[in-house]
Amino acid sequence: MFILVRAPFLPILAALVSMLAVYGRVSFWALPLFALFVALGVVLSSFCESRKRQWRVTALVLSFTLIFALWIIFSLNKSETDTLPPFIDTAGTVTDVRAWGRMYAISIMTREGGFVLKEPFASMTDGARVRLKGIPIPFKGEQPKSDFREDRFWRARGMRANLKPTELTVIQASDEILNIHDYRWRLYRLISIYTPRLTGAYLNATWTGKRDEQLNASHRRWGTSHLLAISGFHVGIVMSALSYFVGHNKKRVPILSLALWFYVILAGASASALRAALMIQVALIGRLFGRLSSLINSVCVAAVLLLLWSPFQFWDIGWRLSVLAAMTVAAVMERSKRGDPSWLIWLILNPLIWIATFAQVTKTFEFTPLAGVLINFAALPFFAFALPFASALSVLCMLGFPFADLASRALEGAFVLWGYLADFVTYALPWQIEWSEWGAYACAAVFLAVVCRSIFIPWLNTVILASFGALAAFALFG
Amino acid sequence: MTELKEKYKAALIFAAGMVCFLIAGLIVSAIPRVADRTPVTENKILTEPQAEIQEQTQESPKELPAEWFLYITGHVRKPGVYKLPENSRLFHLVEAAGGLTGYADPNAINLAALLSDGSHVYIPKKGEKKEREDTLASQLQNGQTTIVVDAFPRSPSKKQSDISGPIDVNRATAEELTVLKGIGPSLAKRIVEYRRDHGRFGRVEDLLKVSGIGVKKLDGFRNNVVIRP
Repeated sequence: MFILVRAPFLPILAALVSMLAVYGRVSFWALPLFALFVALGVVLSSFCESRKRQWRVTALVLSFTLIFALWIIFSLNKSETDTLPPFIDTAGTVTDVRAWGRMYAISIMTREGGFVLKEPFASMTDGARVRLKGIPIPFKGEQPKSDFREDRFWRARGMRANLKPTELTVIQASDEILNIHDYRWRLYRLISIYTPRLTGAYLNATWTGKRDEQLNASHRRWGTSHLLAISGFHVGIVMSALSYFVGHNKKRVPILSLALWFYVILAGASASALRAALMIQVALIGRLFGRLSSLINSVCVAAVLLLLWSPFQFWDIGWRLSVLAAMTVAAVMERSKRGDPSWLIWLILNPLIWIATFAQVTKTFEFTPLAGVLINFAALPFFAFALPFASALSVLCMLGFPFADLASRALEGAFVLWGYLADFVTYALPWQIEWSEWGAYACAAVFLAVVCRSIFIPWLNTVILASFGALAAFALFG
Repeated sequence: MTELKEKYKAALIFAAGMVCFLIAGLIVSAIPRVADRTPVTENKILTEPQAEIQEQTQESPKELPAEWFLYITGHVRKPGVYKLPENSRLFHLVEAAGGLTGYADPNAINLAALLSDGSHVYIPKKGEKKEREDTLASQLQNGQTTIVVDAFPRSPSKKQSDISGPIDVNRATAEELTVLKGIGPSLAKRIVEYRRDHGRFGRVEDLLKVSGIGVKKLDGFRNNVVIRP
């Protein structure tokens, strides 16, 4: 059972994801049982050869599955039976301000939980301390003719209810020394003031998680939205730069860990950023104890921890896309470690990520541009260079270094040129692929096959598992 | 031989894994949610405690969180229409409207008053009530008989002959119902209580289920009431 050696958390993740997919369709007491059988099924069907202590590890995997499943069911049940107070009178901190249709949704974290205000204007900024009174209104649940569930969306972000405010007063942040949300707002202002428009929009997306609506629409057209959402790509760049400066010393792991979490929370702590941070944290801790972690297992550990922190993450498109993409990258990298040629790996990586996320992307956003496959070949190296360069230049601009402004304008030109290039490719390849049952089934099967092969499951078993697994995924998610 | 055994062992364990998936699938299809398994109990005769328990456990439209549309004008900071949870009281609406202005008269209103869906509330300014009472007295002295006073809650204090349209019994307050022929304050209260306990009236004849309303009484005001969904 190679899976127990390479990725013991993979059966646990598969079991929890399957359990959450049938949540609401099965009695509460049957859910842990269902999870146990899925975990056992994954372990047994990945059997290749006998190894020492494999049954003990199997028992451990099943025990963890049971404990985690019970924890998740308990958390979901607790959230769904939450009784709201008729009126609240408390103080809190604005943690996020985002566009919400024609309105703005302002998230406020208080001692009584998180509350969401819908206002016609973005009347408050991140980090503002507010005194608020109001009536909590429960989130909307399942709505006819709509797949969107307001309750799951906001609960995944730690919010408890909407708030109809009756009194809202901004107060001074005197009692909080480390108000990271305030830092985010200050950084957003600095970037907006000191950098040209496009550079500023990219830097704000990278450092504060705040996306420019116009730029977001362009990236959606190009199929490169993942470059604006904080993901493993951004976290990886930041950590690479930091580890270069920190060097190799005894305090390396604690310093990098602190910097990692500071960056992720500063950037808005989205599901994909948290997933990437958890993966890097697992790898850092592993190195501290002299153990190299498996990439696939790191993705699974991060995904499981996020589900334990908030099971509502499962219904968040950010979590799903992030886990699918990271799992594909990890699976391909595992193969490269075993001797597959690196040029082949880089050639198939982008199309494989496109395939792995196809069903989720098209189901949520209705289509995915074909040009995205081609654009991503150039996008990743370009932004891997441009984003750190732009960050360094913006600091120099703020400090008033000579010629920094000129270099910054040159970089702005590079971003404009990039836009032209991406537009040209989109014009040359104008096809958009819409969701289809066969397409989703085929893509799910390819994704499962890639994961199976990465943990060296034999070809025949891989074909059977991918075919039936995709069918099961279709039944669970379709 | 050992190799062959190992090969079969692998195939058997793989097959066992597939059986586990099948069992997992069976669990989903064979054990539906408790709510889905609840049989139709219309034909069953339930004892009173059983009926109570069933009523508590089943989700009925009554239990779903409803919202009321309420209109507030006068001396509040942000007058307008507000959407509040059902069973809201006046202080909830006043808070939603940004609170009372400095000119509002808190003594002229009952902040603890229970509201109803579609209510219009007017908050008078200090001295306004007295001014109106004085105007009323002078108008009465001058021989005028029809005077509209902004009372609180702003319900129509009119006679039945002054009603511009039929009253919706699913939304009317007890005060509004008293303008109907043969409906006094206690009977109006009973109608509101019945509506609260049993849900909305489906048709006008459902009013006969309210204790104190007979066919004759219903015929007396049938043309002045309406049932809106």
